[in-house]
Amino acid sequence: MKFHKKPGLPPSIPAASMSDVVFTLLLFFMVSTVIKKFTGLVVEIPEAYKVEKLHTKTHTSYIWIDAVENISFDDYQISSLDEVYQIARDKIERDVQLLIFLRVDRNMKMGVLSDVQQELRKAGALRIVYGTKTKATPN
Amino acid sequence: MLVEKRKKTTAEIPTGSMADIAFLLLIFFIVITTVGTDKGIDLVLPPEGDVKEIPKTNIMNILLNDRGDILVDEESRFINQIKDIVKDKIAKNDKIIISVKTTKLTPYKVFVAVLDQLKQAEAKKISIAEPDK
Repeated sequence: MKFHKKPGLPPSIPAASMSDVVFTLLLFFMVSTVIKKFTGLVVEIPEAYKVEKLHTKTHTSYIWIDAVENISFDDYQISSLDEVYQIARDKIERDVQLLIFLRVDRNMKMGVLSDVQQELRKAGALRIVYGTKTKATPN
Repeated sequence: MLVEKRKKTTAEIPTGSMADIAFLLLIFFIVITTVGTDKGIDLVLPPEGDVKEIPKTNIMNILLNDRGDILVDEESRFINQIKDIVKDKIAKNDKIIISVKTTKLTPYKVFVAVLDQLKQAEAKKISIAEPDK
């Protein structure tokens, strides 16, 4: 049996709307992109099951505390706890919605952290988040 | 005098390469986009100097020692028991405030694990007590 090839148009993908599609994607990525601001310190954050996603990065400042008790506040190396107060005070004056995101190494003790928290309380920066990874199962 | 009318040329922007430009931009943004990975346990600290008297019946104490052992209302417990105990307590008394007290040497990961348990038990009133000097 012989198959006859149908004479017809060569197959083609309409390219006219291609740029629209690409532009839409482009717009999406442009809007959703937040350029990373800080490098921070190397920390291994603990795990937790019931975590919440950070809603906004615009009102967020980061504090890193690594395993050897280096403290970094938005990439500014802290040498005395008083500076935590100063910086937090400055930031809360500029943005009342300020949220402090704490990235503390899992092998740290509570001492340094609670000192930092006391400074934040003094400065009035009360909304904090303990950064964690997500754990698959509870407990 | 004869003035010849110039032939009109219509102004046009070449659109053929538009898609290519858009593609390049698109690739740039895809590459630099990091999907938001900031997750954690949120908490609101009490304002400085804010001391409230709370009736003892409305407080549940969770104490963590230097080794990370846990004492819930004077009884030693494991981390994974906290959730159920707290759930029970809240069901009985919805005004209850859970006070977590650590020492300066309590491991941070135990503290986070306890907070995680409290969040799993839907506890809203959590208070972090200052470690003793």
